[in-house]
Amino acid sequence: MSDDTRYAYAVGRIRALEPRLLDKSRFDSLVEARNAEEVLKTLSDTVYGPFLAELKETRGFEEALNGELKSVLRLVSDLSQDTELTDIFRLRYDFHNLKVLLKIKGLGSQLPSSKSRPLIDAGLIGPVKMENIVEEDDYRELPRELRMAAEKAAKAFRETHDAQRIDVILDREMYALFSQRTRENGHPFLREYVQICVDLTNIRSVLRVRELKKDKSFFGEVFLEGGKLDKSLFLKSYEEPMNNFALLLSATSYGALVSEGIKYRQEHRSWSELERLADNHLISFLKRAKYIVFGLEPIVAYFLARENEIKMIRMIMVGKLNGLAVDLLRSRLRDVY
Amino acid sequence: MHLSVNPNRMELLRLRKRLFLARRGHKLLKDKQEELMKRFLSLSEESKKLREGVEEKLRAAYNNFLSARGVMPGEMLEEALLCPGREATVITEVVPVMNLRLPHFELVEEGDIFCYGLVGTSGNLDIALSLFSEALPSMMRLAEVEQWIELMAEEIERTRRRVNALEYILIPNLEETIRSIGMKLSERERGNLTRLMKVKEMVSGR
Repeated sequence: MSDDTRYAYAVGRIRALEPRLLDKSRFDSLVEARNAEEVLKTLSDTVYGPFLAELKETRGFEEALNGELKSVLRLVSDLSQDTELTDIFRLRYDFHNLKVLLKIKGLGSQLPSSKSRPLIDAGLIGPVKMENIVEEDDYRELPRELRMAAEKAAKAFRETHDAQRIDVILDREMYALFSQRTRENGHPFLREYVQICVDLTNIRSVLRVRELKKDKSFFGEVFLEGGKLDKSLFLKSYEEPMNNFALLLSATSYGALVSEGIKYRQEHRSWSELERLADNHLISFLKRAKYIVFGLEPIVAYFLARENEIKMIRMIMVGKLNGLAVDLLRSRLRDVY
Repeated sequence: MHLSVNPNRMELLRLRKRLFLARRGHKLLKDKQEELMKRFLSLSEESKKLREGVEEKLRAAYNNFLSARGVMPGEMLEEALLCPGREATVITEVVPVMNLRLPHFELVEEGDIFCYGLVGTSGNLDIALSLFSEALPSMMRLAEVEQWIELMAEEIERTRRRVNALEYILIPNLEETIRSIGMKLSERERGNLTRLMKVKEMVSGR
């Protein structure tokens, strides 16, 4: 796929945009900023500038971040010649909106007002349309896989009245859809990306589920298929100390991040380090796209790098608004693309 | 201060009875004050320990929640917590302790606190919720103990005022009045005796 000349223009455009990604020194200065206002001021001459100019108050910074996310998603859709593949990034927001709306429907009388519903307008289906679909319980207008997932989740909720089932089913169906699309389209880079995402999610899930003292069967429900690591590997050391799980993974590329993450968790009662290392692992994988001349990879990598950037800005803003120490914030920063 | 009463024997007996009652009341109130103080001090200690524990837990919970909030978009965090799985009910009742009506809270929790999927949510959210959940019963106890301390402090203040009123005003006044009535009665007795002797003298002289 690396000589896919259909992407000659797209890659050219992306390469021109890449220098506008925030670099390490820019993040260092954001972390050093005295307060949230100073962070926004530092960002005003970046791609976030136009969105920040419309901001009425500092606390509404997420609107600016969402604005930039939507514009990058639009760019990816415009440049992509394989929309089947790049749509997976937008489908994540459709799945999110579905979760919200199914839960709200399940809540019955306690409906939050339309404005305060936590919907994200970045998916393939607009939030208003999605709202009507869920309201009428008629999912025919949704793409096939989304429809099946929605019906499954709605049915499970009707039977169990357990809102967590909605999340669990939709998460599983979402990753099944991603795995299937990347497998069918034979795109090795995206396929491997999804596999790594699945593995990292499963690693985090097994550690979290164990900490929540849930049994093996619950992990079986939340386990995502389609990764490189087999389910049996996770179940093998389920009852043993967490360090044994890290040992089991030591031969894989996740060994170091798991043992570091568990060590930090035991010392600080926080999964921050594991999550940071997992994000860094993904970014280091994305860096391969830098050496691909023509293809979908640089576009995908650029989008995910921007998403990572937005995540870091959010983290810094939340930290600054709540008076988090500079050192703590710095220790939580992810690598940049 | 001398009470304004008629200096007669009946009043003297009445005042003696009042003095006896006041002394008994004073002793009882003094005992109550001591017991209240004892409980107040142990409650203050408990409240201090509880507050430190609650603050420590809440600090850790908020730190973890902030970490989760930092890595999750606001909408996704809200979605995760949209349908809380655990329902907490507070049962309140009033416990009578030494003439005080103290509130007692009982927390009844049902369901699982973990109510969201694992994809797209931060592990720190689990830790934050567990810590919040661990802190809740201590917070309820703290609310109870702090209210008890407040009510007890008021009661101690009230009892102290009563004890002081009895000890420094009523009892001394009664004692003084009793003494003065006693003296007046003795004086009258002596006057009568002298008068009788004088009469007897006058009668025998005739």
